[in-house]
Amino acid sequence: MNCHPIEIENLFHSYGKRELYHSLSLTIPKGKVYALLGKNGVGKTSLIQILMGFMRPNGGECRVFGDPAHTIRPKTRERVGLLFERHLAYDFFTIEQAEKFTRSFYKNWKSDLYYGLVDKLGLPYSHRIANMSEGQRSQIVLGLILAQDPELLILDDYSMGLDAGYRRLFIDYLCENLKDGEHTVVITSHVIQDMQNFVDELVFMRKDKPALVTSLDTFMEEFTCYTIVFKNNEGDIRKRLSHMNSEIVVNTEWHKDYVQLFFYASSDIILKELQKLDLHDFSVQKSYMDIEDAFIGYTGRY
Amino acid sequence: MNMFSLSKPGHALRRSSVLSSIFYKESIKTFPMALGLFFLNTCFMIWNFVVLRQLFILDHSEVVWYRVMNLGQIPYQDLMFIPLMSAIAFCLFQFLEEMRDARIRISLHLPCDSSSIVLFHAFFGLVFLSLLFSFDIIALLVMLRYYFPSEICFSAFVTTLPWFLAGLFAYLGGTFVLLEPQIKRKSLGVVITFIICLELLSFHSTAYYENIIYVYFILLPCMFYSIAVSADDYRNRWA
Repeated sequence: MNCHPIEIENLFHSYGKRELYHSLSLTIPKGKVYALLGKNGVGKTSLIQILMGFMRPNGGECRVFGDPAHTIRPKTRERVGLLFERHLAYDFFTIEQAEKFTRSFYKNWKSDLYYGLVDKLGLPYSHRIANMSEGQRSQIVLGLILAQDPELLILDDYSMGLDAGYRRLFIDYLCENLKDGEHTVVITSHVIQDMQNFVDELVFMRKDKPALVTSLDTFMEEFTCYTIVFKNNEGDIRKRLSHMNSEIVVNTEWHKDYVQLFFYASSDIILKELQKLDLHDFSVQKSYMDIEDAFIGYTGRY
Repeated sequence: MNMFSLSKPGHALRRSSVLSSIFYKESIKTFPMALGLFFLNTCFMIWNFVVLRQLFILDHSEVVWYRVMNLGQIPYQDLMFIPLMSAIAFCLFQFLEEMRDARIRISLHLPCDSSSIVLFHAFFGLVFLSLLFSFDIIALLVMLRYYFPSEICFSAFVTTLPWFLAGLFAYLGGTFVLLEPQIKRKSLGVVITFIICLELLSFHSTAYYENIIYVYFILLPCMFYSIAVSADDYRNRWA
């Protein structure tokens, strides 16, 4: 039976009184790259922990290739490459020892992928992982995961501790090896702009709000920002904005002289809404957003 | 729980390969500690030999023999806590590294049964400690045989065996406690290990345990398999 790499149904989970997921449902089909996005503490890493069976949820079901998440069979785990937060590795190993140890567990092991990536570091194979920088270690861990030739890759905050060069190297290597429609990737990161050319689908997780699942293209097309410059008329503009339809306004960010309104709707609806506000005496401009602006606009600055 | 559940025929070879891979990893990880413990144990046995030799220099042989054979004094009593301390040090070195940033998840994500993976880790520790303790026992027996008849050597073997067993129990108990996420079970593990070690290290008389030591050899596998429970709890813990 062909099962989706990941299926989440009505997931409930809470830490004490703080509810993390309320009936979260999500299906991740084969061949897609999904980004789990959200501010710190919304439950991205917890979701990965649950999916990989390191934590039991309070309710609902999570399945990985059809296996319940907390009882994933070894055979299924072989199909999943997992990058833990902070590029967790057994750092007492040398480059060579890490490969020798890991390869014994995977029948489709591809040493050339590992050494291809490791060679870029220009380090001797006898170099210990403990003596590497965070960036170098990230390449070792990525090499070990890619060499497993997994069908599903789960990368939890791959960008943590990496400078721009290593982040680019990481993403480029993922693009070259995984964007083939055969591999499914779930990725979380706080550095959103790196993902623009890599991800297909976005999952926005927000505190106390349902998750939004959308394609990157649709999101960038329909998520819009308008800037209204008010200078000394803040009170007036606040009054007018209070009459706005809150269903289409996702977020409002107030600055010293201007306010940014973030809408998630088609442009016709947004323009009608703006007309209702009668803003002809203010400067109103549609603002260009890159993916990071859009992410912050959607989830809020704080 | 599904211990050693690699049931398909093709997996039979795999289990030995997993075991050898875990041993490979653990031997690299614990090498500095293993070397240190062998060195310290060797130093201790040499010191013990010097102390024993001194007894015969300071007193007549007859007096020393009388003390050991009739009064039941044991000239190697300082050895009592060495296995326990060695086992605790080794357990901490081996498993704190795994618990640091929950690195054990790397091993638990490997495509093998999680309980088997953890049990293989503990088995490695048991093998190492058994080798270390065998070295200590052999060194002690050789040393004693140099000065005493074989009856004393046998008596020393039976007297010190509970001390070495206490080391193995401390290692298994420590492993359980480090891995177990539930506070109640963790506490229970501490209490059980403490009671067993206390009993084994309470000196009664030479060869006191001669007839009941087998009970502890039965308990040892139970303690070993309890680690699989802690591995299972670790995987299925509630946040």
